[in-house]
Amino acid sequence: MKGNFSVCEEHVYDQLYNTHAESLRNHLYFKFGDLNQAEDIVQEAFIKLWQKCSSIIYEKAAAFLYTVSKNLFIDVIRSKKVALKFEKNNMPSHDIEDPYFHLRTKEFQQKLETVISELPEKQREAFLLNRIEKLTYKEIAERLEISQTAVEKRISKALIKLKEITELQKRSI
Amino acid sequence: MNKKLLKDNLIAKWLDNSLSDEQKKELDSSGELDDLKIVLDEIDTWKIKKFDSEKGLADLKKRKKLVIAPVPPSKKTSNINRWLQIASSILILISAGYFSWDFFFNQTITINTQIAENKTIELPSGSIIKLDALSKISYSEKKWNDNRTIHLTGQAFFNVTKGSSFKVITDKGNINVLGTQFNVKTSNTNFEVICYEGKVKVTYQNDELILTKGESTIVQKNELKETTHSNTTPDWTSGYSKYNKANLREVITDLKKYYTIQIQLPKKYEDLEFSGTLTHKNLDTALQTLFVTMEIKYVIGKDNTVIFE
Repeated sequence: MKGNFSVCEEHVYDQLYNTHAESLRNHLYFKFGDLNQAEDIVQEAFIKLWQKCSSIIYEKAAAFLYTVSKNLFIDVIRSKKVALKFEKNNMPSHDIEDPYFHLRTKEFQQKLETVISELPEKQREAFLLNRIEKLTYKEIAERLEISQTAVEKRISKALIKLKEITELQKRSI
Repeated sequence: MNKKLLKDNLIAKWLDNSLSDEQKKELDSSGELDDLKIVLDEIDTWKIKKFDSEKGLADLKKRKKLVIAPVPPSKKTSNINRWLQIASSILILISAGYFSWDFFFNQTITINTQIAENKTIELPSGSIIKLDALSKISYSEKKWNDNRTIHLTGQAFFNVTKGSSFKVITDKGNINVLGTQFNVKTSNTNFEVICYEGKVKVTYQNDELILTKGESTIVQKNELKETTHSNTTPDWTSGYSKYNKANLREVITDLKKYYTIQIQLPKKYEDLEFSGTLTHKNLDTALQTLFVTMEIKYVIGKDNTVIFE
């Protein structure tokens, strides 16, 4: 898509939605932990984009959407506990023959979700953008406007936490 | 071992496959990360509830109709129309003479808030300003892209998108920023800047101070005094004010921003210090919190006049 497309044109606007709405929702979910609220804010951000479509150039639309949504979330009281839930496609294994079966039980998966939810916001955000959204460290750095080393640092800390939990699980068996 | 893994973000590099062969071999042979690998492979298969783009777009289509229709894109106008536009603008320019020259190049936008009113202003480029009660900002829209300068009286919270420099000018002092979040509070006697993200430079008379996240500054004895804070947004955006050993006179000045009240603080109380939290939403509660803690007796009379005994 070239730069001279106007955001006010319906097909450009719709295309922006199809490209960005889902990843924006996921990002907000990782950061704030409420899926419904994240979806409401995505809609709200796109309405704002529409209101300002004549003054926003196509290349800046994504940045605009991220800034606006972050600001909208500032207005929402953030005291709520983050409790992320993911859809898992494989059936947890209970086969004692599996050397890693203790890491594949349903209970442990739920524990993982809790541990990830309880990570500090910035670590959680970077870690999940990498694992779930499959963004590279470089892409995350650009999205969050921080250095790549800072991304690595946040992810390192998150990984250490997961490693500790994994070791505890092994001992408890 | 964990310390070693954190050093130079080794563990993140392991995950990213950006380690040197040697480092990788060493880590793999230690077996230290085998279990973590299993867990990560598991997490990698996790998904979030599917996003329904069609439903979202349908919802937007409905809501877009309620929004004032945006200006149609200029590329749709035909050539004849465009020439007419140009011709008419030239005509207007000539007929309006030099009055318009002044007008077009110095057009400023001014936004005010009344007592108890807050406003959120979005600037071109996506920056956000939240304006507290009894405050005012102005800026030049024409020159905005070359000169991002805001004049402020009162209190406001800024969330600035990255870009060229951004300047806030107040009667007391100035603030220079590059993409950040901060709060500025000014009154006749007070100048305070709190930085929530990024970096800002505060200038007050001949004093200069650079603030980063978690740092704030307040003018004391005509100098910028550096302080710290642990908030992520200013309290007033959530509808209350927090004070720590604040001058009672300052507190009353603040109250007048959020409530229509008549209040004349007796001189003997002016320099007392108040610490606590006052709501902006309920006058009775606010007055009670303030004066009961200060052990000052008062009654509320007609037209919200506060009378001291």
